[in-house]
Amino acid sequence: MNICSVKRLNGVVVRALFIAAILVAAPALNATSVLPPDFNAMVRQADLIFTGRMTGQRAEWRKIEGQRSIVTLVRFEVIGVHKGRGGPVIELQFLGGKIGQASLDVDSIPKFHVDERVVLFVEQNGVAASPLVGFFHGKFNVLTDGTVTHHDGAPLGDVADIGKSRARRGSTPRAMAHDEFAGKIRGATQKAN
Amino acid sequence: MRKLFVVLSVLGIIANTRAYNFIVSYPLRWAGGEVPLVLQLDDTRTPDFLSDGNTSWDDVAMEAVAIWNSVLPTIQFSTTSGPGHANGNERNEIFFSPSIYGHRFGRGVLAVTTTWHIGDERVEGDTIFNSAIPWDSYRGELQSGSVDFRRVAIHEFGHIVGLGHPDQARQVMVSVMNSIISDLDTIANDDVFGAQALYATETRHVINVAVDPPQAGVVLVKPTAPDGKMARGALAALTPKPNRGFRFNFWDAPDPSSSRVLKFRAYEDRDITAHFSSNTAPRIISHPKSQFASVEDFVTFRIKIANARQASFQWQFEGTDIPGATESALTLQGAQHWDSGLYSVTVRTAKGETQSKPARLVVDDY
Repeated sequence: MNICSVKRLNGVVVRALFIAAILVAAPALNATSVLPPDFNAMVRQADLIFTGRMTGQRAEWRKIEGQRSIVTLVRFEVIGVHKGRGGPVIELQFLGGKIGQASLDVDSIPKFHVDERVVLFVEQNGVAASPLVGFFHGKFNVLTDGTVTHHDGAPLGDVADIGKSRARRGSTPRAMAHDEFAGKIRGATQKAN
Repeated sequence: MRKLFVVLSVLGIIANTRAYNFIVSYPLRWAGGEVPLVLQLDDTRTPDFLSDGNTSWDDVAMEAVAIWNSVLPTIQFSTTSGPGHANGNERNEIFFSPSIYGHRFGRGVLAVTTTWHIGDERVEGDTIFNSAIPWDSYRGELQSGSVDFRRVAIHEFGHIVGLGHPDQARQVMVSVMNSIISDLDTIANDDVFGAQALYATETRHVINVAVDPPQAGVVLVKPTAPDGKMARGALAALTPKPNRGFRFNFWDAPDPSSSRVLKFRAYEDRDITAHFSSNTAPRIISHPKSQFASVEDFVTFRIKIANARQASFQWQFEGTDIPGATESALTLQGAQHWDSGLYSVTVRTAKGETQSKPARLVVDDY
């Protein structure tokens, strides 16, 4: 077997594992356009997990494979890194944006506003349409009282609820504090390693 | 000059209690009539024997289209087929692909709908299904081993309609448009209410509009009724009383309009400019369309009028006549950034003149 065929075989194995992961997730999680990962999968898939404050954004025209696109580069001041490496400022690229009169909107792409504090699970920044794990699932807001919410704004009570619809989440008496969430991320990261 | 005050009845809608969500913070919708979808699913993925008996991905997509068409009051999707797809080409293309125009889907992403708009004018909506997914088509509960193509198509076409994810707007509703749903395999009441709020017409108001001169001219329509009852965001329609001898032929409202009825959304911060002409002036069948271009591209704007013989044309850029641009089509050879802006055309015959709707050219950075 030559090197090319080994690489091809590796690609087939990776694809097979990916499809297998989808098949396992699909019936349990019931998503429409994105199959949401659970907490452990999110931690495992992310190259970088950090808490940051959104400080600004700019949109640019891009041409990839001859196709016209607009991308938005969103800048964050880093408050804390929970997995991977990140400098004091991180810039993430999202497909879509507005330049003058031209706008490209992509369903499910997360939006940010200045001073918004977030915990972000990042993978494939710069090459994927969304650099967040699970498209938008990898975004958690940190409220002014220090508690954390899901992507849909509901309070995060338990990391076991991540990836579930509201109807399937358990009822918890309180929203999780950011520091507790960060601790669970670091714990899951160590466990995965 | 004498002014003729014409009383126009204004028809708008009463909004339903809102639970649905739109794809952008302000409602963005298609102009009325036909929204053509170019189905390229069977061209980009081998048709298969599917669990619901279908043998064509395009046929399944057409079922999803029919479901939306059954509840859309002022627009209807039509379907055609044809080769080739591109981002920002003003065509609505539906196909399988391993990427979103070169951008990776990311793990677990089934499909994505991209929406291009120029100003308030919606010009394109493409749905790209992830070709790495094991698709099938079936009804009822989601099954292990495959993902139901039809319900994902219904969801994505809902984005083309203009709907967003209600659950991400903190609403708890049964909806096929939720970002995470149950085993719902078709549209629900909330999806219908959302679509009909975007495209319906009801309610009545009366406002006065001054037309100067009596049978032709330009008026600025204040989108608030004298009684102040027209709510922000409500859909309104101006309908001239019969036999007034004029018609609308140009407006800057993004909503569905005909030459006899001007429809627009009422926004507090926006006036609507309506151009009138006499009934004998040339009638425009097809206005110039907004479009994207890259630097050095050839760009052509076209207009189609009834009885084009004996007509003359004068194209304008940002309201100023373009010297020598006197044909029914305007071609820019080698577009540059400074060509971005609004293009329109005046059509003249011996019996009068008509102004086209403006079309916007956006030249990107390439």
